[in-house]
Amino acid sequence: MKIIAQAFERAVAILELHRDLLDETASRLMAIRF
Amino acid sequence: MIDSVVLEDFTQAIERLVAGLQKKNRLLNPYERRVVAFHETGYAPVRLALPGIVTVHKISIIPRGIGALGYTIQRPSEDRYLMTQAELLDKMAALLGGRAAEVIVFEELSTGAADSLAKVTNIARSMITRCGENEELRQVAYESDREGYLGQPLSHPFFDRSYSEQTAWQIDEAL
Repeated sequence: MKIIAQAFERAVAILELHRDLLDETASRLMAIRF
Repeated sequence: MIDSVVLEDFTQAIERLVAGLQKKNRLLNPYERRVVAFHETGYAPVRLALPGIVTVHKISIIPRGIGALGYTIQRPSEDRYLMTQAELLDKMAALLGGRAAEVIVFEELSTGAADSLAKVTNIARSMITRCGENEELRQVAYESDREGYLGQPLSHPFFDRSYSEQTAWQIDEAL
């Protein structure tokens, strides 16, 4: 596999594994009023 | 009247230097705000899951500077001067965390994901053309990092290329 595609697939795999953390943190960020 | 400087003051000063002035008047619509939030959040789980010495210090979706709609501050716990091939691959994966998050959540990419892709492409190209980290292209330095006045490239790589069309094609294929 090409080098960048390989790194991207790795990032996707990690995020899919930690989807709960991704959703929770993004929701907390969006909830902040500034 | 402030009579002391606290840690928060230093943090604000660093953020201002690194990312620019806060632009709270730069209003994002709810969809864009959501995209920026997921994009910036995407870096953290990838960075934390990979081995290494870099930790995620702060994630923000307050626009700053000329074009940044959000930013993530990562802090290395020690100075490093060398990187292994595995560490470079980890760094590339971490830099692609924002793009990966956009693809997973929105099933499409935004223009905000372009900057990290440029950084990743530079790392990958350097690994192949300068560090000889591709088996098919052998242990050859195809490019050097010669710099001209004030860090500007000495000449355009297209006109100063020291390798064949075939090699250029192989480099493109490896990326």
